[in-house]
Amino acid sequence: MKRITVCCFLFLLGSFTIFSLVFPETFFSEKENRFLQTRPNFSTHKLMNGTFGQEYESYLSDQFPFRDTWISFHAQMERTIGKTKINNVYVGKDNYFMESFDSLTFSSAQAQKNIDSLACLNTYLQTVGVNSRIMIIPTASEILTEKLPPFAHPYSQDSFLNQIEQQVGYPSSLCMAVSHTLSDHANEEIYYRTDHHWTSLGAFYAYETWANSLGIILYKKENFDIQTVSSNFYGTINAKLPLATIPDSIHTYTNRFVSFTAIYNKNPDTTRTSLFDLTALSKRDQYSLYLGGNYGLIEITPTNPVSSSTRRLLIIKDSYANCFAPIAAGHFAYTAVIDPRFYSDNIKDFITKNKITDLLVLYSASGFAQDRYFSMLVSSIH
Amino acid sequence: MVFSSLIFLFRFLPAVLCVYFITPRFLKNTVLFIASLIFYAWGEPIYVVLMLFSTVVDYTHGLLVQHFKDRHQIKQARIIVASSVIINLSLLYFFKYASFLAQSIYTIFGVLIPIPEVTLPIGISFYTFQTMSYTIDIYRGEASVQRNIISFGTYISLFPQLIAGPIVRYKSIFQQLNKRDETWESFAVGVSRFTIGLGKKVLLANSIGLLWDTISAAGSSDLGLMTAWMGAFAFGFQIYFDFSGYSDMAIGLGSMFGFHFPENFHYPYLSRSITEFWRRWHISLGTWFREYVYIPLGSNRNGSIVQLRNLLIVWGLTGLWHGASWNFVIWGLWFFFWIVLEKFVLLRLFNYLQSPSSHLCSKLTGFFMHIYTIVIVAVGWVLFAFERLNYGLHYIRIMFCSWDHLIDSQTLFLLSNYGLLFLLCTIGSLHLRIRLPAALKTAACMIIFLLCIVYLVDATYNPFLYFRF
Repeated sequence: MKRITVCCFLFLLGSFTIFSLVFPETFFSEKENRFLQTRPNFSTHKLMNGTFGQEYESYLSDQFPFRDTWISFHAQMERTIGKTKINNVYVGKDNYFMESFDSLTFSSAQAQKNIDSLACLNTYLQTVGVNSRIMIIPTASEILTEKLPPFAHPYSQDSFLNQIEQQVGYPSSLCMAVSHTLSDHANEEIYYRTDHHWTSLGAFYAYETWANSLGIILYKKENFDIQTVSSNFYGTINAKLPLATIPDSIHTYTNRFVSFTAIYNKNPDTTRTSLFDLTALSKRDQYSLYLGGNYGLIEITPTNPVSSSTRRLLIIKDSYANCFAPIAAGHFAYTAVIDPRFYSDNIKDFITKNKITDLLVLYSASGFAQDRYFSMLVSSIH
Repeated sequence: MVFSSLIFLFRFLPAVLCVYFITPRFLKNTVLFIASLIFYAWGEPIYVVLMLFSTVVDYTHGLLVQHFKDRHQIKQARIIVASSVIINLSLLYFFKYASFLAQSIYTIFGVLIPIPEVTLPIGISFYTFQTMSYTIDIYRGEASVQRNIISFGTYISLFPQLIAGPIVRYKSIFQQLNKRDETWESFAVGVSRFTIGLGKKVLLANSIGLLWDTISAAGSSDLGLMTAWMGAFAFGFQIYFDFSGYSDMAIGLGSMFGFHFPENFHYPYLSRSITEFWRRWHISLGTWFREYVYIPLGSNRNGSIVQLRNLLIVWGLTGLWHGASWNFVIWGLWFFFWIVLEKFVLLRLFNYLQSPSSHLCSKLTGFFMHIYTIVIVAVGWVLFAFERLNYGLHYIRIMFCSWDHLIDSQTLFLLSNYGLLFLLCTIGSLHLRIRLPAALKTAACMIIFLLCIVYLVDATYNPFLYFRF
């Protein structure tokens, strides 16, 4: 028996060693959305300052044979031991997975800076007579409280939204109004189960609140051609916590009356005639079908304007706005969507040059609190 | 390098085992020595020089002590021992305590002493204690001098026990350095010991550590009394399984190479007094302090006052050894207080109550003593865990005074998430006398090993989901 024990151990040790030596390398992990560490090049300099060691260790775990299988198994083990919050993801009821954010996310210096920038932007818009609206959308754990695991008590995003509301003031801030609207529809599919975004339905309810506040005669749900374009969507939260679960469906809201063309980053070669990029459905991140993903500047114009609206909209946003813009664009003669993460031009000039009449800041609460680019974009204003 | 890493398990260990077992006997120590240097140099190449310096210094000191002893020049021998101790302690002081001392002097006297920033060389607290034990053991005639510098270097740097003990005193291992048997038996024992240790560290300590991280990171203002206790227990389990897991792995690895290292933990959480706890916790450190500090100071032979002084010194030093910060000193003194109280009052009282007059009374006393020990130790861990003393004291205040905030949703949520793990940790701390069939035991070890790989591979799983810059 002693020999069997020793042999078993040596077999495991040896087989994983050899396997990890000969296993083919993977360069990019779609699931994690990052490049994996490949076998590091040796140099005496790197050896002496310790970086070779670190790189080799990340190489070994990044390229470990059947890595994804081990990682799913880990998630399953954590679940088996009774955990309902793993990797900062709540394992909720009805197959809902929700990200958990702590107080640090919302009370960081960055978060405070972003609120200050927001207030500054808002004041500027009022002085130049642009309608400004601000929607910071709470994440799923704040709204779908019924779906949270037992006793879960996520950090309340309310105080963050309240703070924005106070600094920006009515009627610009729709944060609390939208939060209430979403809460009223908490039993509907307004957030994805496996992804950190809201669904088109969630965006539609927010659109109603927003359009009402602007005094626009809003579109009803029937005015959109609602199509289920995917029913096998496993989103980012599933990547974070790869447990076996049911996939999400993705719906597109296509305006029945108006069609659009979109130009990306002022490059005429990129002109698209659909706001939905169905090729994204073959990728892992199917949410990027909305507007085709995140771009610095997207300019949307109606090809067959039915109304004689002369209003011109600018949305400053993170990816939460990608499914919102197709719903909202029908009311405007021109809609620009700017993602500060990929846009570095002067925002003040942009507003004057394009005769913007309405501006919407649309972010997820966690995205806004952590964003490092919004305040840079706005800094040209003061 | 640490044992609980993929690089150790699937690069270093297989390579060392291969080379070691095909190498002829007379070169085996050389193999271990070189392997140990690589092991140590992996993370911090520069500090290997320090360890080699320490090795050469103590090697020559050992030779000199023996030289003078052979000529009955005891006085000279003593000077050499003193020199060895001074050099070792200076190294330890410079790398571990210099900035702490400067800081304390600045706080107390307002005098600023410039101190160069140095990072702590891994394992320095362990190997300086081992090298000191060498010259002292030679001087005392309890071990014979090592003339082979490779064998001596192997003793100092031996990678299984290099970075986290057990502190192997020279006299307990010098014979094995020259003559040991690597057998199937010892290797098999090593395998099961190593995998169990790995499991303790990777599966239990790391997992329950997350709970402590959660609780200690939460602003202590909104912490409930029960949550605070849960946190203290979580930290207690974390440090126990971390440390004893490491010792198990060290003992197991040693056993694979034919060494027999001393035990370091013996189910400390079953203790029924603080005195007993310290006989079961980090045994090699306690032994070291007893042999090289407490007994030379005169232990308990010169009356109660001297004994008190000696205990105070030993416990102050024990605390300080764990880290260069006041909270560790306080932690040591916390145990000093209870051990003295037990020596003079509590244990006599307990013994009286446990006298066979009443079976029930004796049972109850035993139960009470167990609870008492757990509580004192848990409070100790809080002192240990917070380097800033006022944080620790605030946390302890919550544990005992926050009766109006006994339990909340956080408590229930954490309990629902970690209840099962707590149970497993509790079982893991018990001395279970279950005889498993050998085949089942082997299977269990292999499963533990595989589960550890699951957790180790996941440790770097790092989804970067939203942006790709």
